[in-house]
Order: sequence, then C-alpha cells, then structure tokens
Amino acid sequence: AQGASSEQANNSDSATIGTDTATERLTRLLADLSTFRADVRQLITESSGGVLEESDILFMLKRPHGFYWETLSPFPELIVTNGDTLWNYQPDLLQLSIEDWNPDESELAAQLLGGETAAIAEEYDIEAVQVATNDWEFVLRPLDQASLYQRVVLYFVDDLLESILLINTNGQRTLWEFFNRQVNEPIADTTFNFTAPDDDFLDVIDNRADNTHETDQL
Amino acid sequence: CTGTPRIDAPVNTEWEQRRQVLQDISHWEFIGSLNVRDASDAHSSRIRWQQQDETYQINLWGTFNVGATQIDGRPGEVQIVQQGEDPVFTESPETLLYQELGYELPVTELNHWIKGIPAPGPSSNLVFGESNQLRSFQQIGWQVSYMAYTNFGLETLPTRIRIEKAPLRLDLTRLRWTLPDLQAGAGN
Repeated sequence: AQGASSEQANNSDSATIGTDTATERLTRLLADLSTFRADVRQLITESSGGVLEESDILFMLKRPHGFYWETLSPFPELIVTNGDTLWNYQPDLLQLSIEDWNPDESELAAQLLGGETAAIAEEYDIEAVQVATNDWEFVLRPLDQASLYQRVVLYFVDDLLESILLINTNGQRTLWEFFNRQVNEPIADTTFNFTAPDDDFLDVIDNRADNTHETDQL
Repeated sequence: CTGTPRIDAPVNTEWEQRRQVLQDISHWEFIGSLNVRDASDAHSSRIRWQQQDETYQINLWGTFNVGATQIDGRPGEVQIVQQGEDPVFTESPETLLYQELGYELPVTELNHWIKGIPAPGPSSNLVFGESNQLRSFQQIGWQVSYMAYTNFGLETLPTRIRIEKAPLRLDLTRLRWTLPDLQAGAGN
C-alpha cells in the first residue's frame, strides 16, 4: 500500500508556509521527541514499483545520540549506537561488527530521526504542507544534485510522526510507518550499549580506530 | 560433519543428471543477504536476484536504506544504477561492478554457482556430500562452498554459499528461493 502521504495529494490548495517556518516547524515537531519508541513497518519497493522487501523493526531513540534499530523479520539484525560506537549484530550469522560512530556523518534518515534539522536544512529545501489542523506533511527536496534522494516526505498526524518516505535517485523507495508509538517515556541508556554474547563462534569485526581495548565479551 | 567421500570420479551419472536439472532451471528468484569481507573491511546488504533465461535484475540494498543498487542485465549489455549516481552501461559487468561496488561480483558465473552447480567451462576439486549434493569446487580462481541446502518445492537449493578469492570472501546467506512452478512460493 502506498504510504499515508501520497505525492498525488495536491499541494496547491493546502496552506504552504515559507520554508524557514517549515524548517522551524519540522524542528519543533522532531525536537519534541526526547525519547521515541515505535514498531516500524518497513516497505521497500524497487524502481518499477515491485516490492523488494517488507520488514518489521523495533525502533528506539534517545536524544542526543541514542539510536536502536532492530530488524525482527524477515531476518534478525540489530544496529545500535550510543553516539560513540556503532554495533551491527546479526545473530543468525553469528556476526558482529563494531565501528567508531560520528553522529555528524550519519545518514539522512538517522539525522532526521535524530532531529538534526539544522544540518538537513542546509542540504534540502523543506516545504511544509498542512493536510489538516494538526496533520502536516514535510517534503524535502535536495538542493544539490549529488544527493542520494530525489525526495523525502515526513508525515505527522496530531503532531506525532506517522511515516517517512525516502525516494532514492535510482527510484527505489523506502516507506517507514510508525506504530505503537511511545513519546518521551523513559528509556535506559544501557539500551544503546551493546554487549556481545559470550559465544566462541561469534565472528567479531572490530573496525574501531583504537580496537586494542577489550571487546565487550572478553 | 564427517569426511565426505570425494566423488569426482570420471562419470557420476547421478550428478550429471542433477546438474542438468539445475542447469535447466532458467526462471528463478531468490532474496537473501550478501556479506562482503576483505582484509580490512566487512559490510552486508540485502540482495534480490531475478533471472529469466538470459536477462536478470539484481537489487542490492543496505539496512537503513544505504547503498541501493539495481543491476539489469541482458546478453551483451548491463545497466547499473547506484543510489546517487547516474546509470552506467557496460558489456562486461564484472569490471564495472568492481568499480561501482568496490568488490568483485562474478555475475556471469554466479548465475550458475548460486543454484549449486559450476558454471560451464573447467572446474576442479568437486567435493560431494550425501545424496549427491555438491559441497565445494574451484572455478576461475574462486573457491565455492555450499554450507546449507533447503527444499523449495520439488527442488533442493543452496541457502548458504561462501565464495572466496583471497582476500575477498562473499557470503550469500538466508537465501529464500522462488521458482515459477512453486504454488506455495519459497519454503524457508
């Protein structure tokens, strides 16, 4: 099913306000999320519209840099960072890769979810489209052509993030729909620190600059 | 597993039949994960490969929408469109893929290896497991090993493959196959 916000929704009649207000509005809506937890339904479609994959993901966020993205199906994979280190753990493959994490280099989607709208506003034109009293659609279009995306659309209902649609330059689309959302509920910091299981067969790829220090499971 | 008998005896009719059956599957699709490792780096992505006779479409994408690539191939021409890049056309996919992806993806041979058989042309050191399932072999400088097979409808196909050519190691894992005559679609 196409995302809640389809491009066909004509923007002409809905109130479009100046881009700076749009950025401020988007900033405020995202900034309200000091912690966020949701079940994410991900739908990836390829350029001709065929479904590549549907996945279920558990997502947790804690400002400023706590980020937890666990794919539950169709295969298990955890990506988690505390802002310093990024872990990518694939339990069925018994593979763990660890790398230093620089939040500034994070990918657009992570920046969006992390609420770093200032950085985004430098690279994207942000247009706000009011769909209903508290329902807003933000359409991001890259300012320069070297972007990875043609367009990114965030959709808020009752001021709460409902979905994000990412349209790549090669036509592939990723739609994230957020369910069972919990905003600003307490989430422990330890959630964003990964401890490797004690398993001799675990294949650990430690790419950290200073990876001489103990890996977690030793 | 215990030492498997090396059945690369001159004529193994059962294997030749098996090989022909797999060779004749010309319409197939699988989805799975591709883990790429070389001396210093490792990254993984999802892969979906659709093959219809000589034409194919391979989609690669990373978790969190990173590095989405689409490769469309027909005899004599391959188009590669990477996220953030203009489409690129080539006749020989291998060289271009190396430039675009940063690792070798022997697409032409992989089309056969993926089903559990060597590509046409010389191959060596075929090692078989029970019921004539190919365990490993070498071809064009690659070592191909089959770590797991699963039944998909009437066919038994690999679900975990490792192909190595130092320092590169490609692991194709979590493979779920769809074959046209399968009513129920792929098992797991």
